[in-house]
Formats: sequence, C-alpha cells, structure tokens
Amino acid sequence: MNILVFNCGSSSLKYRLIAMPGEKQLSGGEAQRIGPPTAKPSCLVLQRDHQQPETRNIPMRDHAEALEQVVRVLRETPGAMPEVIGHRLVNGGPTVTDHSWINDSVLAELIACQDLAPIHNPPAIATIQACREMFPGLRQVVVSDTAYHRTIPLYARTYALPQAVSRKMGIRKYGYHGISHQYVVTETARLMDIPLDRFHAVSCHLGSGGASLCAVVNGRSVDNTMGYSPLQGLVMSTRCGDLDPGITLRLLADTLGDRGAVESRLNNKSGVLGLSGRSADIRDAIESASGDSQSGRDHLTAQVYLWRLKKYLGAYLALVGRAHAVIFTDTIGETVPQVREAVCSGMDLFGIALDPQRNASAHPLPVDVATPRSPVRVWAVRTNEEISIARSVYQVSCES
Amino acid sequence: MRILTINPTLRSLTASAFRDGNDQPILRRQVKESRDASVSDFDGFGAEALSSISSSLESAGMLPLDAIAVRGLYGGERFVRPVLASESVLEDLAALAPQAPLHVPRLVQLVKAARRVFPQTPVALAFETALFVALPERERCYGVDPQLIASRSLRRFGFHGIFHEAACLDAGRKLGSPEARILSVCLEPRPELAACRGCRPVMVTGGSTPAEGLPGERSCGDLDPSVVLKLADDGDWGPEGTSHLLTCESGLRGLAGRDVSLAEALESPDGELQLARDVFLHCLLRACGAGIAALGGLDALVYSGRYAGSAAVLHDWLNQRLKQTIQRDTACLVHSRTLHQHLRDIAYVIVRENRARAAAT
Repeated sequence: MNILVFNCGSSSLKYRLIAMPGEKQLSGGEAQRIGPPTAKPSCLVLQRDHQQPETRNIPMRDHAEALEQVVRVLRETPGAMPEVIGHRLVNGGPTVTDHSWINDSVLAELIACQDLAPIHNPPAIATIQACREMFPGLRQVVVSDTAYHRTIPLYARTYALPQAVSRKMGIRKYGYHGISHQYVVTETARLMDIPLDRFHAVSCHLGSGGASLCAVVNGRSVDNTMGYSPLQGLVMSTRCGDLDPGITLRLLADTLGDRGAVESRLNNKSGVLGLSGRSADIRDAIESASGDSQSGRDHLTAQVYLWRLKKYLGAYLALVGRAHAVIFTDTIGETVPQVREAVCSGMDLFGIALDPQRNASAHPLPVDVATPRSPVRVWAVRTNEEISIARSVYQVSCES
Repeated sequence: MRILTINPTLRSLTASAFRDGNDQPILRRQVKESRDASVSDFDGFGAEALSSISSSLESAGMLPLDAIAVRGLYGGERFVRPVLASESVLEDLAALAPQAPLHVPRLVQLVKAARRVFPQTPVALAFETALFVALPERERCYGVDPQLIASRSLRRFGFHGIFHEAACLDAGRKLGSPEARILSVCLEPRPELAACRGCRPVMVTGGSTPAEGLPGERSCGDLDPSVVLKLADDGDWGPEGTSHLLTCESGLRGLAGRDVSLAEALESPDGELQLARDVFLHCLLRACGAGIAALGGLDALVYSGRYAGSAAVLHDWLNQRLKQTIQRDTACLVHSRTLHQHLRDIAYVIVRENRARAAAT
C-alpha cells in the first residue's frame, strides 16, 4: 500500500511516499518558504534514492499551491501514486483523540479547534482540504501528535484548577511530539527485544526548536512535559518552558494586559535565545561554555537548559518505575553527546551509567551508549516522523 | 525567657507565647481581620490585635517579654538569616515592597506596631525565603532573559525555609551526617518539596511566588503559561481575577469542589477526593524524582509542617513507588514541631547572641 505522508510546517510542506508495510520510501521532498515572495524564492527540494537533492525554484503562495507542485512531481515517476494519504496534525483537539479517517465531521472538528496549534494546524488543515479536492477518490487519515498521549491518565493531564473552569475552557494537558516519541519508543523496544506492551522508558525528544520528555509505561505515554500548549516544560530554543504563574501574570500587567505581547515574548524570545541573548541554538552555548572563552551568559544558558532536563529525567524515571531505557532523539538528542553526558551523570541511583567513549562516538545511530553493566540502557535513536505517520495510517487502513 | 511568636497571614495573625524551656505555649491566639479590610487598614488591625494580645499576656504573667519573633514570608535577597528589627532593617524591608506587595507592607506595619506595643522588647524577623537566597544559579533562574528577571527579582525562592531548615538539621543529626542528601517534604496548606544537601537546598518546588510548585489546598501549583494567559484574556477574570482564581480557588479545593485540607485529601477514603489526591501525589512523585536527580542520590525523606501527622500514610505510598525506581527503601523521618516552636527557637538563639555581643562590648 503506497501511503503519501504530509508533514506541514508554517511555511513548509514535507512529503514522503512510502510503500507499506515494507517502509520503503518511493519518493520524498519538501516545499520550502511557502507564502508571499521573500528575499529567497520558494522552492521544492526533491530527495530521490541515493542521489543529491534537486532544488527547483517555483513560486508557491500557499499550501494548496505547494501541494499542486508536489503532485506534479509525483506524476513524473511512474507507479508513484498514493493509495492513501496521511496528514500530520500537531493537535487533534478534544474530540479527534486518535488517528482517524477524515470525513466531513472529523474535518469540522479539526477546524473548530485549530487555534490549539495556531502556527501548525491551519496550514495542515488547508492541505487536507486541498487534497480532498484534488483526490476526491483517495481516502485520507489524520495522524496527530496528541494521539500518542491519549493514554496519559486523568490525574496526570488535569491541572489543579476549578474543574468547572477547566471543563468550560477546555483546559487540560495534551502533550506533544507524540509521533516522534512513539517512533523511537517502538524502535528501542525492538532493538532491545522487549515486547512493546511491557516496555518502560523515558523518551527525550530534544529538537533544535521544541523539546519534550515522555514517560512511557507498557509502551504507552503516561506523561509529557509539554502541557495544554507546547510552551510548558523544558527550556527550548525560544520557549521559556515552566514559568511561575505569578511571573506570567506580572508580565501581563507590565504590558497592560497585552496577551499577544507576552505570548510572543515567552514563545519566540525566551528559552535559549532569551537566556544567552545571542543564539537560539543550545549547541552554541554548550560549545562556548566548554571552551576557553567562557561567556557568563552562555555558561548560564547551558546550565539552566541542562538542569531543567536533568530534573525532568529524574521526575519521569520516578513515574515510570524501573525503566528499561532512556532514549535520546531529534537534532540535539541525536548529535550532541555533551547533552546526554551532562543529563545522565550522577544518576547512578536510577541505574544509569553512561559509557563516555561510546557516547562521544555514537555513530551511526541507533547506538546504546550505556556501560555494559548499566541496568537502565541509554539509547541515541534517530527519529523518523514520516515513517511513524505511515505506520499509523497503515494501521488505521488495516483496521477498517 | 518569655517569647511571643507571631505568624501574620493574609487575613489573620496567629500568636503563641512561650516560657523558658517549655515547648508548649502558655497562650495561643488567632485574630482574624474583618473581610472588607484593605491592606492600608492593616496598621490599625496589627496594633489592635497586639494590644489585645498584650492584655492577655499581662493576665498570664508573661510580661515583660524577652523577645518577639515574627515570621516573614518574603525577605528577598537582602535577608539571608533571621535579624533583629532596627530602623535600618525596617527601611531595607520596606524597599522590598514592590517585589511582594501583598506581604511586605503588612509585615513592616506589624513590626512597627509590635515595637510600639512592646517598646522594650527586641523583635526578631525570620524569613521563609532566607534559606533559598543561595540557591544555585541554574535552579533559581527561569528560561527567560536574565536581565528581565534580575531587574524585578523574579527568581525562584521557595517559601517554607523555616520548616525545611529545621527538618534538615534534625535529619542530619539523626542520620549522623551533616551532608546527607535529603528530600524535605513540608506538609502545609501550600506544600513544598526541597532537595537539600545537609541544610543547603539545591532544588525546590516553590517558585518566584508560592503559586508555583505542588498544588496546595487552594493554589494551583505548576501551570502552562499559555493557560494563565488564556484564563486572564479569554476568561471573565482579567489579570487580578486570574491571580485570585489561581491562588484561592484552585488546588485541592478546585479539584474536589470544596475546601479540603491536605491531610484530609491524603488520608480520607472519600471517593470524591480521589482526583485531588491523585493529582497531588502525581506532582509529589515527580518532584521527588527531580529532587533525587538534583541531589545525585538520596539518604532520607523528612516530613514537616502542620500535617506531618500524615507522613506515615504518605510515606508508605511514596516509598513503594520510589522503590520501583531506585530499587531500595528510603528512610522516613518525621519532624513534628510547629511553626511557632521554630519561631521561638529562632528568637531564643538570636536574643542569646545579641546578649553575648552586648556583654562583650
């Protein structure tokens, strides 16, 4: 079954055509800089098997136009047409809790709650609508990041607010990065030869942008550091993560109640960027802090970022009971050994012992970087959201 | 020695009077402020309450006093240990008012009233934040521009330093190690967990205000900043109403739909308290894990606060859960002294030091 997977960003459209269940990628690429013309033109970057990527400059004013170009490219290759389409959605909202077929009522539900992920959901929904017009005969599945977290127990997704208020305003923890967490958890259980439904782990998705930890019991998510929105939890590239509610209110008072200004500050100008004052990339702070020319703010940035991470790793190991593994993934988790080392040091009581040499030379992934005697294994695993989406789409297709 | 201890809270003050080495107070009073009193009226309230307490002390043969100890919820970075109130101390304290506008002005007024009503008596101030002034930078900083924070003192403190310090001192003595790795669980209406190396905290659940951290009897605890903004903007509350909602209507009360004490939530079999209990325990278990990671190990859990009596029930659960993770049992210590007893001890020490200094000069 050929599954066409779409993964939408605010100004990008990533696609993969994947033959399931073999997981062979038939075609793939990414439309970049979608939107009104900017200094650099919008373009389509095509990735074919073992070849250099090919870049075509094509004007694409919105996601529907980007979709047209993607379909045109797919038609160039014989036999590369999809049978089912899968769409990634950051937040499926309160009613579309699991991966599901898209029909009129599901689409209406998704539109109703698109403000839950104001940057990501609207272009994804626009792509779904364009696909329905372009391929009226093809069935489509929505795969959401929140679906993996639907197993978080009530007590872990409930904020300690008046329940009437929470119900009325739809306030609850959703959790994010579920597509990636599910993928690396499934992969690691397979690598360790442990049945997924008996596998316990803490999964650390540390992206160059967003980051979250997921506590996993019996293969299922039981907690995620992100909350109602992706703003809660770890210190991220430009997001503050956890913040005293009193500080949030004080910032709001400072701006005379300008919610947008505070949201923008906490989402776009805080985190690593806010702490360092110069770069949103934690790698810059870590390199500078470990070098000779120590900048005070870089040192502080690395310390605060790593400390929050370490505390959450401890918190989630306590939730999980004895974990089989701690998993690191996405750009920072996969490629920055210093982060894994700092976070896993002094964690003997949790049964974690990192092997410094294996950790420093972890390549190619996946690699188990724990010492042979470490009761809890530590894995660096490359994530693959598109394969994860294709698996979910295939599962939905097989179940019906 | 005759010592009066005072704990000013938002709408009342409690006072206890102790004599000599006796741990049981000779006199206990709670004075409530009328509902509609505003902050500016506190001057009158404090003086009135203290005059009435003074008469009671006189009848009990407790005058003259040797010292008064007053609990301060917030002392900023200025106050790292208990101090005797002087003009300059009061000036410094008053300068902290913008950082804690609900507490500091009332505290200043209360101390001034105490000095008027008991003119010959030294007044010791013990600050809940003092223990946390020296928190490591990585723990006290939030993930925002440090200049924004520094200019406003919006750093993490922790708000039960008096209990934590006494409990950790006691634990260190019992364990025979001044550098023991201790999780100190303060079971008060606003519960707080501190991870301490000896008496030195390395991590604490409390934040820049007591709203952050574990959910309390009425306070929300950790919350997604987006939710705070949503409540203040989409809801009918506005910023001030949201502040009230988060600190007075939330926590166990919000979850259970009625006022619940922490002890009741932990110990009652009432099914209607299940969600409140489970949410609290989940947050506490997470905090324990974070604290163990912060300490790099664990020697004991020590429980304190007015609900320290619930420690047995709580520790059974917590130990069972932690045991799965760390594969061994954790020692349970209970420190059941009251806040007023701690204040008495603090006053006792500071007056003795003061007298020794005076004698030496």
